Amino acid sequence: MQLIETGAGPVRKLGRIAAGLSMLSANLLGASAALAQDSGEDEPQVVVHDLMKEPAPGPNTYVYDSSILFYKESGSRVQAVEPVFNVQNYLANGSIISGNFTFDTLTGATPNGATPSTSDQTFNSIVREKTTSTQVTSTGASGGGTVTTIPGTAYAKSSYTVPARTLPLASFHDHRFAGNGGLSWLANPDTRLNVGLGASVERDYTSFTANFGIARDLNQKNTTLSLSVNLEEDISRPYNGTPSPFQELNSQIGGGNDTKATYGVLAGVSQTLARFWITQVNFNLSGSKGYQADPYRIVSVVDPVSGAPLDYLFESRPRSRTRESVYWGNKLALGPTVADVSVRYYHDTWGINSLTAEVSEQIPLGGSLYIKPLYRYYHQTAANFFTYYLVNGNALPAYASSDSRLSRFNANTIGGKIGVRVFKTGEFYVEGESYRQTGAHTVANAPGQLSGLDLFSGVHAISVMTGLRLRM
Amino acid sequence: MIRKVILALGLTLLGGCAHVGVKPWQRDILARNAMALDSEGNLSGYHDHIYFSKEGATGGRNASGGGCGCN
Repeated sequence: MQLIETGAGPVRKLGRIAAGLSMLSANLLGASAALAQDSGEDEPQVVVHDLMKEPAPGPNTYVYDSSILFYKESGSRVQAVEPVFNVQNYLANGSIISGNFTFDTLTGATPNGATPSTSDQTFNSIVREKTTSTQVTSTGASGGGTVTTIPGTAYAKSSYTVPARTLPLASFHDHRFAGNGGLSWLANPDTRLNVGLGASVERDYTSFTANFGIARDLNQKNTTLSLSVNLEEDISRPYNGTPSPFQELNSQIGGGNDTKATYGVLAGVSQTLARFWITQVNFNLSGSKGYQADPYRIVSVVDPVSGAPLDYLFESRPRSRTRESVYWGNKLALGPTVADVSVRYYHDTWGINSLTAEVSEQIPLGGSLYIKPLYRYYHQTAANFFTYYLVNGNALPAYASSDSRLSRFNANTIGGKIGVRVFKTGEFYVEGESYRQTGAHTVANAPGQLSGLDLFSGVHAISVMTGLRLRM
Repeated sequence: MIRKVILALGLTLLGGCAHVGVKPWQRDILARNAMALDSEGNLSGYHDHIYFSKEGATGGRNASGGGCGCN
């Protein structure tokens, strides 16, 4: 659907009258007063070079988007560099062909799951010798580890030490290549179909995705109903094999690869509420079955009195998870600016409930430059099997994980974007963000030394994204 | 519970949808790229990837998430 700026002449006059009538009659949650600012009286003619008024891509158009992400977590944790290339071809018959290619490089260290201790901690494990040069063998905090060959076997002993009162981290280095392609076409003037396929490959993880969707316009294209189905098949190939639930860290892992299948459906409705306001409500339901644990993550087993670590066990998570979420998004043209306001509520069968709210405001500074401050708030409750540690002598639960992503925390993102017109139809953009997780640093009734240690392992990350978007 | 709320909300919205909206000649502002519901291109993908790898919740705006071993 190609939409154009309103021009001068009879059509424009009719548009003004109709816009005025619609302002009087629209029941828009009391927002009708705001309509006045965009009644069309001050709308200029089509300005090709005006970034904020550039129309959506029309037929016979290519859109290229090349960008790169620089991501860095404080505390010598994860660093990532991620170039992405995306191309979309809008054909004359309304079809859209798209392709996306991503390449990640990740380095640094990530929490291994153990609690800090008032004494140095040494982590011993059995690893496959052929892979020891590329995976978890040392910590950034301790400055290195050792790997000792076990004669006559394909295994080696890996050992690294973390200083007292330090969050145990394990270093890693990985690459990921991902590609996906999509095709969207008009089955009739009001119905659009789309299919997509994707693959993502890491050294220890491979994922294949497929999706199919249909969107139907109603009410003079003011309403669009959409439904999409997504399938995903993941293959986990941990460097040292897949550990059994609660297997001891310092033991030989016998498990091979494991898989996870995910099925999802997303039903949505988008609605034009006024000339300046479009809203969208989505319901997303997905179910995953299969291996969903982190094969490198452990949980400390601590003394019930002193809180000192006695042993380290691999974590255990349910093999089934159902997620559901409802999302409400809005785009509002407020005078010359465009606001993006959204809220999401999420719930899953692991016990996580989450609320997310985002707001950004795109503000033009002349015709060829804009700024876009943004803020995002996120809150989640803990999964019902999240724990910082297990207590020695107590019966093992069915599941336990100390992954901070399953803990209760808040996160705040503050950032901003600058976009500038380059060439005739291009945009150069830079966005910077600060992402900070906050949560409880201590646990009530923690045994012994753990009551005085910082157990929270949430992240603070800085990211910079920059790219060039060209339309030809 | 969430499904019932969504169903009720959806039916209510759909019932009201037929009475709101704009005429085809009033789409000048809506036709702008900046007014597209997902106008951020690659940046949306970056955000989805970062949040998926650091948080327990995912999905909503689209069915993204997954596709990597980062969570």
